[in-house]
Amino acid sequence: MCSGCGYPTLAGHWADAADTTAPERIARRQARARLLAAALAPWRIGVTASMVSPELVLARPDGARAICRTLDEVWLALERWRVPYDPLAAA
Amino acid sequence: MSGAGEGDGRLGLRILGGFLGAGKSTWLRHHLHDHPTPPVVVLNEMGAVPVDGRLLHRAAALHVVAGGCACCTRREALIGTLRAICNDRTRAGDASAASGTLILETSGIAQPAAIAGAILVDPVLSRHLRIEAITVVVDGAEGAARLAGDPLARRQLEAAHEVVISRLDAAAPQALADTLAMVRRLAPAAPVTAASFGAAMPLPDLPPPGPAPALGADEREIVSVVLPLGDGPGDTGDWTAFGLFLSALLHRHGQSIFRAKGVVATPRGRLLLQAVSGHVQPPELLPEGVAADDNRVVLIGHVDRPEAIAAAWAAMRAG
Repeated sequence: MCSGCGYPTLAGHWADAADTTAPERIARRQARARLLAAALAPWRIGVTASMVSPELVLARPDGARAICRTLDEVWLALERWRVPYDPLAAA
Repeated sequence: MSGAGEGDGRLGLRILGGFLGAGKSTWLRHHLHDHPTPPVVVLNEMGAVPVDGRLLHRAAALHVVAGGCACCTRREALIGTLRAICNDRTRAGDASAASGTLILETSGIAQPAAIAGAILVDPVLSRHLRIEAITVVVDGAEGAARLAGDPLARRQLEAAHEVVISRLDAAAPQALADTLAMVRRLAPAAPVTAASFGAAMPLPDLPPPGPAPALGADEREIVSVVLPLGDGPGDTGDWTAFGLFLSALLHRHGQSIFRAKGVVATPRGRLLLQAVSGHVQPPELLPEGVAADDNRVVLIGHVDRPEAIAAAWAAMRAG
């Protein structure tokens, strides 16, 4: 398996089910990181998706980082950091 | 199930009930594959967007009653649909023959007993249909907690002539033992079978059940929310944002959102998306094509502010 793109398959988070090629996976992760960074901007948490590994990296202003393989791990990391992100909060 | 009711010319009817996400459609889908003469299916879905019908194409005929529960708000629609089926059978001249069977899959919040009662008191249906069984499907992994906490799920089970415990593959032994104990407590006369992905399986050896839980009474109304994706049924543009939104939503509110389902257009094709109790099942790739109801995902549960979900999704789409 390519360590950069996770192709042909990762363990299988459902949100990755739409991608069948390496470029699609990479592009999807980049787009997901942008959306997530916008959602987490109130807590000044940065989100990056590297081109060379399949994880999302969360970064706090104090330098703490969390490497998350799936979206589920992102939410768990935010809970550990006591970041009260709720997708319904702004509605 | 034997088809027409024991030689009296009436069509045999099985009512398939069970709580949201219990595995009714999975069981029925497998049943259709195994059945030498596939039955006519009537599908009742609470959501305005019928999804489960996409999986039941092997039925001899499929009739959908969507947009509400067939035991209450859509009862008249159900009665009308069943009457039409009976009328067609009469016109075809096989009303006295043992031809075909009928299965009614209820919505996940319907009361099978109420539906059976409505059929029995209807002067037309009572002459044409014979209720052979009320089969209630219970989720083996989460059934004990659901039955303990939700009186609606208990009332469904109490009406059962027979019980199928589903998701044997996903249930931990202790959870399965607790579910089985709860089923036997609430429906002591109903025979119990088990299934995995709809296929009948023997129950494994189980540990003793835990202490019988107190029965709760969450009487909040169950409502549904429809979330539109893209600019139409074939537009794949919202998949990334929706994956993020739904994942976050179910992580935070999955305990109150029992069910999510819909067909979503993605770059890979049409994916059938289904979630039960906050857990998203591996999406299933559907045949190519576009249906009018694609790109609409229905969420069902004890949702306190359904308008907030729709507004939050709209805000994320807008970026």
